[in-house]
Amino acid sequence: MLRDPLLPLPARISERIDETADTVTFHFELLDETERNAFRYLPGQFGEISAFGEGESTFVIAGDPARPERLTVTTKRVGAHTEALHHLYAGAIIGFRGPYGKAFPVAEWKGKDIVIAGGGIGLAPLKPIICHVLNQRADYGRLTIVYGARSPGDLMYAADREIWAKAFNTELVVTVDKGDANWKGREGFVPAVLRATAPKADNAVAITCGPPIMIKLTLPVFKELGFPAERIFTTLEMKMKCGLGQCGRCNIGPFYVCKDGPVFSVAQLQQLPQEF
Amino acid sequence: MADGMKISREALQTALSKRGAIFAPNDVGRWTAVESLPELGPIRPRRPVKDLFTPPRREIARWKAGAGPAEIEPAKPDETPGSVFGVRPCDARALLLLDRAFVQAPYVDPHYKARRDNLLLIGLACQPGPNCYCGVFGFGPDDKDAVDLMLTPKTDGFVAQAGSTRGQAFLATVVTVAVPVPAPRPGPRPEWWTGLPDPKTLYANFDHPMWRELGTSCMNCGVCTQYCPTCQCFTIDDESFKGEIQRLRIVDNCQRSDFTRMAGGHNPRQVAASRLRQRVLHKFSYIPTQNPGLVGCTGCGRCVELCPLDRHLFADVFEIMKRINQEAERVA
Amino acid sequence: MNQSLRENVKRLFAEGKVKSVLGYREHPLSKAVVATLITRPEDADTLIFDYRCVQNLARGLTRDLPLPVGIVVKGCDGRAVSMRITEGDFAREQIVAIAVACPGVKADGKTFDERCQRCEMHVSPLADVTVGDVSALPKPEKTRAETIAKIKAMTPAERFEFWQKAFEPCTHCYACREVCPLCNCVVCVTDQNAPRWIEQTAKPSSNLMWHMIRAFHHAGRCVDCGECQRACPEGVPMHLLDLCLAEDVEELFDFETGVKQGGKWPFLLFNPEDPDSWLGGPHRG
Repeated sequence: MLRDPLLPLPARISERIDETADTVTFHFELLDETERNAFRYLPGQFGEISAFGEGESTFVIAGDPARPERLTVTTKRVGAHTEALHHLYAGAIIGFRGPYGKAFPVAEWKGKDIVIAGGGIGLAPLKPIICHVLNQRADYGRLTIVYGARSPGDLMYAADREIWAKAFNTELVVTVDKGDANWKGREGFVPAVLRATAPKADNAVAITCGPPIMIKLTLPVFKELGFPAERIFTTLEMKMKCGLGQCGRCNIGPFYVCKDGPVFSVAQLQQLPQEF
Repeated sequence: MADGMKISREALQTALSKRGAIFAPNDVGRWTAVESLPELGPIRPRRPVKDLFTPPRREIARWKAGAGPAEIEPAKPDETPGSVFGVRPCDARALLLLDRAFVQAPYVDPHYKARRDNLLLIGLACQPGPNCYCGVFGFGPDDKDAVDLMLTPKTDGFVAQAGSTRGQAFLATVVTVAVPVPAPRPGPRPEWWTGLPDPKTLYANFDHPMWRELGTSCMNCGVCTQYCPTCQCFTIDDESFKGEIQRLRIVDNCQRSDFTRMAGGHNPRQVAASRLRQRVLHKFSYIPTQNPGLVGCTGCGRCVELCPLDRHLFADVFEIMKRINQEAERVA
Repeated sequence: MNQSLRENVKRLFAEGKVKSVLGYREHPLSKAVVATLITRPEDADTLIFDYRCVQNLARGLTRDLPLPVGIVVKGCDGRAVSMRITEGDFAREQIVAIAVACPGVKADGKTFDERCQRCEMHVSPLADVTVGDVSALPKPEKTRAETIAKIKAMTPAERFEFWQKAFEPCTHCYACREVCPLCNCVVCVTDQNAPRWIEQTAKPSSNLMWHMIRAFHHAGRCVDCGECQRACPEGVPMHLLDLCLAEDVEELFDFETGVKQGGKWPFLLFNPEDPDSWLGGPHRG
C-alpha cells in the first residue's frame, strides 16, 4: 500500500534550547525505531515540522548529518504555527516529514576552502555544512566562518561556536551590529567584517544565508573578493506547503524551491526572475 | 471509417451499476453519485471532473479526541470501483496533466491514484459552445484519448468507442452491435487565434510592462482558478472541533493575495498583476517547459465564461504574444 | 452618449484635472465590455457607456493609480466612491467623478437588472462632470422592501433554514469579496490565521460564518450594486442578505449609504440611544 507522502511521522522533542528571545532550537527523534535508524539527510535539506492542530512549517534540518537519528530545527517565532511550537518542551510530540530539497553539493567541494557568511538565524542552514566539514576534516581545506547578529543576545549556537573556534584550520569571526556593556567582541556588519577578513577566493566556495538585506550586501563583497557566481551558494526561503513539488506554491519561474532548490548558486539565481 | 459499438442507455446503466457507484454532474454542475444516468447538456458542467480526484477538501489524517498526539490515523484511500459518466474531453485531458503532478515518483498521492485506478471514465461527446477552445490544443469534442469510453449520444442510446484497454474490456462485457462512426470532429478555436505562445519567449518576457497593464483590469478574484480543470495547487491546514483534529488537504488558489505570503509578512507576489502573470506563465510556459508536448490548459473555456469582469484569459495570452512578437519584429 | 463621454474625458486630461481615468471599453477580440484604465487622452476614444456597462468600477480604485483619477460612475458606483471618500480611503481631491445618466444595465443583455428596476438614484450623488440626459431617467418599478418581503415574513427558524440552504453551494472563492468596492480591508478577517476566526473550507458552519460576517461588515456600507451576486459562480444569493441589512440600517439609523461624503456613518458610531432590543429589551415587531 502506498504511503501518503503528506502523512507526518510523530517525533519526540528531546531537548529545547532558547537561543534568543524569539528563537528556539529543538532536538527531536522520530518515534518509530525503524524510521529513526533509516533516516539520512544532507546539509541544506529541510523538513515539514508540525505542532498538531496548528499546521506545518518548513525548517531546514540544522543538525549534524553524521548523527541523523537526532534531528534539529531552529525556529523563529513569526506567526501562528511557530507561536504554537514555542509552547512545546522536551517530551512533547511533533510531526515531521522529510528530508526534502536539493542539498549543498558538499561532495563537489572536496579539496576546496569553505567560506561561510551567516547572519542571525541564517546560520541554521549553514550549520550542517560546518558539521559535515569538521566531521570529514581531511577532505576540505581552510574553513572560514563569519557570523553576525544584531546584538549579543541574538547570537545563536553558543556551544557549537566554542567547538568551531578551536577546530583545526578553522577561522571563526563573530560580530554584532551593536554590542552591549558586556560585549568584548567585534562590532560591525557581516559584509564589512567579511571584507576585512578577506578569505581567499582561489579554490574556494562561498555560502551565505541571512536576512535579505544582509545577503544583498554580502554577495557584492564575495564578488569583490574574486568568487565567481558559480562558486557562491545560498539557500532560498519561499512559502511552502507540501515541500515535495506538488502543491504548486513555491515556484520561481519554472523551478520549485522545494524540489529544484532550496540551495541555489548565484549563477542559477541570476537566471531566475526576481520574484522571491 | 472506424467502428463504434451501439449501446442502449439501459444496457450501459446496468453494466455500470454492476461495477459500483456511478458519478455524474447534477443539475447545478456538481459531480455527485447518481442512481440513473442523467440527461446532460451539450458541453462540460460547471465543475470540472477533477473534483472526484482532487476533492476541494480531503483528509490526510486525524487525531481523535482523547487520543495521544502520536496516535495519527491516516485517511484511507478510497479504492471502491465505480465509474464517472459524462466526462468531456477537455476535463479528461486535464486529468492527464494532474497525473503528472500526483502520480509521479517518488511522491505518489495514494488517494488520487486510487480513484484514477478504480473509476472508469465514460466520456460524452460535446456540441461545442461559444467559449469552447479545445481545437487550440489539438483535440476535439469526440476525443477519446483520455477516457476509457467515449460516447456519442443518439436518439436511442449511444455509440461507444473504447479509448483504453480498460474501456475495451468493459465494452466486451456488454451486448452491443458494431456500427460505423465518422471521423472525429476538429475542435473549435477563436477566429482570431493564430497559435500557441512559445513557452521560452513568454518566460523571457517576465518583466514586460504588459503584465501590469493586463493586471489593472483583473481583480484576482480567483474564479478562473477555482473552476480550472488543470489547476493543481493545494494547501495543508489543520482544523479542530470538539477535541478532534483533522489535517486537511485543501484545494487552493494562486490568485489569493496571501498565496505566497510568508509568516513575518514578506510576499513575493504582493502585486496583483504578478499573480495574473503567474497563472498565465504556469499554464502556458512552465508546464510546457517541464512537460514537453503538454500545455497547462485544455480549452474548456470556464475562465472566460465565469470571469465576473468579462475578461478573456485566452485573449490576454494572445495579446501578450502578439505584442512581444511585434516588438521583436521592430527590433529585428 | 459615447461622444460626449470621450470629449469630457479629453477635456479633463487637457485641463490637467486627471492623470488617469477608469472607464469601460469593448474588448477588441472578445467583444465583451471590460474595465479599462487610460492614462493618455487619445485613448479616451475607446471609452463607451451603454446598458452593457454592468461592472462597478469603484472596485478598481487603488492608491497606486496615477492620481487624481477620473472614474465613470453610475448611480450605485458613485455611492460606493462616495463611501470610500467618507471612510478616508481617498481624499475628495484625488477623485474626479464622471457621472453618467444611467437608465439601468442589462447583465443578460435583454432585461434590466433586478436592482435597476428599483433604483432610486440613477445618477451618482458624487458628480464633478455629468454626461447624458439626466431628465429622462426611469422611475423605480418596485421597492427594496418588496424584494425582501418574502424573507422578512419568515419566522427566525424558517429564515435560518433559508440561509443555510442558500449558502450551501459556496466554495469560498471570495469573488464576492474581491468584486465589492467596499471590501477593502488590508487583511480580510477570513484571511487571518492568528487567530483563525473563520475557517475557509466549504462546509455549512464556515459558509454561514463567512456570509454573515461579510454582510455584517457591509451594514450601512453596501450600495446595492449587486456585483457580489453577479460575480458568484455558484449563484449564491448573498446580495439578498445585504439588502435585508441595508433596509434595517436605513430604518434604525436614518442613514442612506453614500449620498453625502464626509461625516460619520453608522458602522463607526455608537450612541447610547441606539436600538438594542435583542439585548433584552422589548422585542421590536
